[in-house]
Amino acid sequence: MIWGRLLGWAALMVLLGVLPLLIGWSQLPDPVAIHWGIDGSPDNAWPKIATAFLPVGMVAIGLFTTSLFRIEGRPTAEAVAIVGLMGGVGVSMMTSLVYLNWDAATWQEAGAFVWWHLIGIVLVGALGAWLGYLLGIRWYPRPRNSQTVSGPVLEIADDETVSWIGGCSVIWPLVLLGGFALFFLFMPGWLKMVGLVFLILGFLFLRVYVVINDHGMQVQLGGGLPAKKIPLDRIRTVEAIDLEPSQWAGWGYRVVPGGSAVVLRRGDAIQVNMTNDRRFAVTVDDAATGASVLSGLVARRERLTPSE
Amino acid sequence: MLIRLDSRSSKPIYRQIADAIAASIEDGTVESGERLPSARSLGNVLDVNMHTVLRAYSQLEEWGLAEMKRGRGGVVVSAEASLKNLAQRLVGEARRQKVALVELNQVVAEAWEL
Repeated sequence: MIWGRLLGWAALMVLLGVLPLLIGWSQLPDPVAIHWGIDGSPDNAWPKIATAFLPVGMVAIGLFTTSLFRIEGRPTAEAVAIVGLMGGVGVSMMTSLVYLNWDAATWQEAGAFVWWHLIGIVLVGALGAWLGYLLGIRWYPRPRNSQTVSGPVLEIADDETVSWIGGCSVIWPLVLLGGFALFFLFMPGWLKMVGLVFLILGFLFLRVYVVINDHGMQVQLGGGLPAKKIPLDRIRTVEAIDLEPSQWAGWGYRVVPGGSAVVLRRGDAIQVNMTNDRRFAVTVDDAATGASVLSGLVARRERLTPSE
Repeated sequence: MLIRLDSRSSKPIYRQIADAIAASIEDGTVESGERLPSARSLGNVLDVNMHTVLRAYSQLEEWGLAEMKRGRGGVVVSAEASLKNLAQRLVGEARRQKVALVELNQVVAEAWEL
């Protein structure tokens, strides 16, 4: 079973996450402190048994997002890394929760939450992601494929100024914004940071804006954040392609071996094959026109530049 | 949206920009309700002065294809709204010249026949 190893990895993460609770069960008050205020003192509690759902929930969210990281039905190394990240955060959250509640008579007497707990959680999460990635590239090596169609080249006169403005916008990042709301309303304090990350990602990937002119190709994400700049002299060929997100292992700003891409949806996209043998793709509406303009500008530059 | 500018053409640059955007609106590349890029950013892209772009935008507004909104920049209007805009301007001009509606209808009917 292709997904077996990923699911096994997820199960291991859940087990590691619940382990601190099992070890500390008899030493913990019921209910246990689950949330700490800004001053570090506990201000909210959950029934002891309910805390077991923290690592389960974290890993479940991780598994859910792996639907974005698959190529032709197979998970990618990133999927294993995401589960490792969420699992690692779950494990360290449970560990600090058990540590702070250890031997407290009631949850109000639990130890104070200090900033290095947060650093610990981030570090263990990063460790989980790193381990997951190492396992992932072993379990699910990336297939190589790229089907492309070359398009026509726009005829451009020597002294003509030609510019093309394009892009596309999508609504799926609103799901991330929804995730932000969820984390902000229902999750304990330190998890709200995850919500903030969702919020920023949601805004960035609502639209992409592409400008093609004499300076080459410039790509901006939502809010005008520059994402990529490719000058004409670094471009070998340009193609309009029918982009399949699975070939780039998902949506968003993708970095894969041999290239990178901004993927907001499937379908029309411009792919630039660069002189350093890397490729860059971006999803835009009316990609055929954009690709022909960029091809035309590259052709004119080659025509006007004296060859050594 | 493809914009080609020819500096040797007798057509002024602002008019070339306006024509190119109008063509994009007509072929549906730019849809009604879509926001036009800010004059400053389009000026940077095209390597022309911001005021040239603003002049192109006011030309589009005159043609009834776009509306300049305070704080939102240029917005492409729907075909329906664009016709309504032009009709309002026509009626305004007729009132100024004290032309009656019957006469105005006649003028429109004559223009239709051309």
